[in-house]
Amino acid sequence: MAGRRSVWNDPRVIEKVLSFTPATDEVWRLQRHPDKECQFFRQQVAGRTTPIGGSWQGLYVFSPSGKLLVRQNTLQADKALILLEKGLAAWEALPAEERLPIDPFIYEPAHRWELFYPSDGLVLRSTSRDLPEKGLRSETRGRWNRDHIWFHHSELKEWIPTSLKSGQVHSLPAGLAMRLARFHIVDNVSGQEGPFSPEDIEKAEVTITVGDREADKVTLLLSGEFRSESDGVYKLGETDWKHFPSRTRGVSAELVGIATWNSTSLRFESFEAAVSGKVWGGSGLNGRRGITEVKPARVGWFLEMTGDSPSSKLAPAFVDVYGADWIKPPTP
Amino acid sequence: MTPLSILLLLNVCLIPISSDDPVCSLEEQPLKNWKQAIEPGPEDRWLTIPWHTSLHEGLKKAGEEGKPMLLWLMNGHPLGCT
Repeated sequence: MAGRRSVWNDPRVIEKVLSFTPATDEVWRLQRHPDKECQFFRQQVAGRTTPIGGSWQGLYVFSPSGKLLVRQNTLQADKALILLEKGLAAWEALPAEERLPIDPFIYEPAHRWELFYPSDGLVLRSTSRDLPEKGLRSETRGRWNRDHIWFHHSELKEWIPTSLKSGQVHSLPAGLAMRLARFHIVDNVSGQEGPFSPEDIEKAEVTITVGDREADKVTLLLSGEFRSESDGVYKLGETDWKHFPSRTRGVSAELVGIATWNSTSLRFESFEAAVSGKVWGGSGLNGRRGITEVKPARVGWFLEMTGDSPSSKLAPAFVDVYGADWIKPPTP
Repeated sequence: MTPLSILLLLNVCLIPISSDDPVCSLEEQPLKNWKQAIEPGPEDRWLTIPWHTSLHEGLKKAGEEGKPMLLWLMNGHPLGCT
């Protein structure tokens, strides 16, 4: 998390990156999952295809054939810069034949969650941030994190009132409201937090009110309320989150938003919502120390439709426990 | 949905905003202020780097470009929730 700013905002690093093809990925899967892409990673960095433990976070430089040239985990721009220079030197020292790429079939994945990106559904980018104690404006902005929220095309109709007459009120069905509460109104601002289980959700309500209409563009006004509290006991069965060090925690938040629904194309044209809440407790990985229900932290989430950039298509952090039938897990 | 909320959703701010404004509720700030306060801004220059979002895409592109691949790995995707 801290590396985002401390390393990658340094203009020297940004300039040096131009000498490389820059890529990012999630390392937990690469270390442990049986997919061909993951086995390829493990073979290149550890010399074996079986799962590897410990932390393999960090910066790596590979040749296009997958040969590991250098790697280091650092949050310091100066050290990252040295690593990049070493990586370039190692690359330039390679014989021409070792600079050649290999057949991508060797490392192409059979499964990634992004394969289920709902391109004709509703995809929201959620940004969460610690809020200043007073007001929204502050000289120093708090920490932030990001996730994506997926709704399949077949789920869009659940957002829409049966009548599009102004003033009509509709409640988002519990399944979708729970998706927001369990997986997205979560305190991930300064580090990952586990998903909530269904039993943790005390309130998950989203109300949609039909506003103005111009031709086929219908304004929908959104409001919502979420209250979640976990006793810290994991309840989701055999998932990657089973060993996540979660503790007692909670969220209390309200949502206000506005969306434009196109009644001809049957798609959202815009969607923006702000969520304001208080959070307490946590996993120990999300940097909340001394943040209790009596003295909670203030967090804001902003949800809006994504663009077409590659990062917009990243899967939600908890996609593996979404429980949606249009998202298929990897075959064993 | 109250009439006040609807006005605010249309970015009508009824209360003057200042840096020491203690007001920070959904009822009293328009959506555009929430967006500005929460979303990353120019200070997050690293978002301008044209990252590929997976090992396999990066490696394939590195082969096409004839460059080494710089791969940044974290628990949780660095461009998503980490």
